[in-house]
Amino acid sequence: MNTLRVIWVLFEKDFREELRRKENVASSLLFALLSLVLFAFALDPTRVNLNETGGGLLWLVILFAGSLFMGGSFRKETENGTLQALLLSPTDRSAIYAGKFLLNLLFLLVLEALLIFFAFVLLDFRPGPGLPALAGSWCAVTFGYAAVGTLLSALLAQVRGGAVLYPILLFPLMVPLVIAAATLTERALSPRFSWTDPWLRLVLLFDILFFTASLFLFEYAVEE
Amino acid sequence: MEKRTGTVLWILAAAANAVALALVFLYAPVEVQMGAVQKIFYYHVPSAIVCYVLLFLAFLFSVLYLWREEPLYDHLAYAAAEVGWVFITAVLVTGPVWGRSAWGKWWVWEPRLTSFLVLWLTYSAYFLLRLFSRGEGRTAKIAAVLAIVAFFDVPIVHKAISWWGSIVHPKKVVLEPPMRLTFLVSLVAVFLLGAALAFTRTRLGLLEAQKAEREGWA
Amino acid sequence: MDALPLLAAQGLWKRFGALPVLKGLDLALYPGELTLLLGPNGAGKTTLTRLLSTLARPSRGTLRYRGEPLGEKGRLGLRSELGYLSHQSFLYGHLTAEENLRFFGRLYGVKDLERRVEELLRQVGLQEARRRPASTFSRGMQQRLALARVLLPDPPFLLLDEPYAGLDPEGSRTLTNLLTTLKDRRRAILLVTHEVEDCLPATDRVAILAGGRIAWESPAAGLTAQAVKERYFEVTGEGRVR
Repeated sequence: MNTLRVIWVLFEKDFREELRRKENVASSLLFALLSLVLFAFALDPTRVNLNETGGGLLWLVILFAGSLFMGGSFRKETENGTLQALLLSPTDRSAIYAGKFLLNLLFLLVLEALLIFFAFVLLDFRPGPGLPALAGSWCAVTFGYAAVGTLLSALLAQVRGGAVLYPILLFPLMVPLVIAAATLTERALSPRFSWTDPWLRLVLLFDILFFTASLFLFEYAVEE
Repeated sequence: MEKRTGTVLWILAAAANAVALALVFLYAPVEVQMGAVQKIFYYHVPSAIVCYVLLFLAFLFSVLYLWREEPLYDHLAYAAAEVGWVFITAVLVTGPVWGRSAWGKWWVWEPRLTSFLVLWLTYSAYFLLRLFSRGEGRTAKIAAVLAIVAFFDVPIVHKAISWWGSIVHPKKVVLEPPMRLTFLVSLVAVFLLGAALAFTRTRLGLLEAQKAEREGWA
Repeated sequence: MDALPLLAAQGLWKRFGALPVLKGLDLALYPGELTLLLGPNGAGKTTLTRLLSTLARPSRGTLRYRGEPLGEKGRLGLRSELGYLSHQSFLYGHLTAEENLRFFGRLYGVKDLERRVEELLRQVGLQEARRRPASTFSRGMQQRLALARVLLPDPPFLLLDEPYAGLDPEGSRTLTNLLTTLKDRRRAILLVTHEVEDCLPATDRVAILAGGRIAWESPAAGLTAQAVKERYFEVTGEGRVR
């Protein structure tokens, strides 16, 4: 069967499940909002201005809330052995990875959109004309985040204590993306942004490298 | 993996390190600006270099393991990663000692040291993973995938952090002949130390596995 | 009996870390035959099913599918023709019975999907519960839905791991009848269970896995459940079959 159709079937199944389940999506989104509020309390708004240098903070929120959601994406497939069922199906195993990746990507993008909205309301975050640059940069970074996050979720799905281990494994690997996101956010909100920014190229390199590696390594991550 | 090879490696390593230390303290001149503390450089930099070599080996053996599924490759990868981690720690410890006298602070967020900090975090996670999944059959494969992903990240982490950080780390170090010789000897010494450690660690892993297998028969 | 086995294992070894579980196992499964696999817990029955279903790779030895050694394409081919019933339900709790079946049907490229889903729901007696999420099902109902899922693509090769677990006597009888029907349609079946009595009527061959290999194998013709139990005790030193 056509691999793209399989990916769509998998994505649609997960999408439907998450919508019914609600708790994963709801708790991650709520966690994000909560973190935002806590940051507002913890940081002095007269010294940290999101519109200038604090944009990176938003990415910390995405990192934490995103890891909450992505960490469980393959773990929930171990509930009734459905991961095995997927591995038994006559599909290219990378398709299983791709399906989950798309779902995680979608969630992260929705999360980010909501976050920008809440930051706008609560913390006076005004991207203004920099919004397209911001959106573009964030999409690029999110792609890489989803790629590694999905792979690690698969890697740890059947490991005891995998939920605890997940952020510990994921976050060090994300350091380049976090730095890139912070820098690009800052630049997007200023006249200094350019679509040929070396940081964007680094992010693109990261994305391609890790997405390709994940497609290839996924099978080893889940097979016995 | 014969015990004799390990013994030879250790003797060589001990000898080389004795020579290196002698050179460091007796032969190499004391640096003008920083004084005796600068001598840490002779272990700090080689540790960093050997560390990269070991992490690369961990990556290589992980790839080989995924390809061939030979347990030996898993033991080699684990040993390389572990010893590599020890050297990262060494870099993180010797760095600030040098930094304290050079910059007046124990820690600065300068590129290379910061990269090593991130590396330390990454490979510490590798060990946690090994610890958490000890005894489960799939551990080796999972660890192998992680070692591969982690290594891919190494150059990107370096690039990113070097763009981000300030330039406090001396970029080009000019070495006078007596310093150069000392440096090379130290490099060899640290390299041999790393090899001896990795060899012994691999052997340990193999012996543990054999013991587990024998007990499994019972 | 066909001359060509559908699936043949030769000299299979499987190591977990340093521990070998399977040590040179040979087994052949033929179309239209039901092979009963017995063995003590931990002997490697689940490991064997995992190897046969391509969920795991053997450390050594060969697997041949339709005569060809198993390569990448062979593995995909095998998976498209395999129905695996595990002790895990393989069901998505938040999807309804029909949605579960439809999902797997699409994954397996089942033709005429809606009709097949109808047919199977009827066959396992779950039409009324079709719109209920699988998580609300009782153990017995889940087992029936799992069976429907397995049979949906009408696979030539069936691997059933403890399918009688959780079934009441009527369910067991239905299952045994179903197995006989499947055999008549030239399906190859490997049945792993402890419930010898329930399925012996439909069995063609009995194999006992012990010590990492097939320690004893025999055609089932003329064997009584008692004889099998005695043999089992002889080979394994245990008496845990019923």
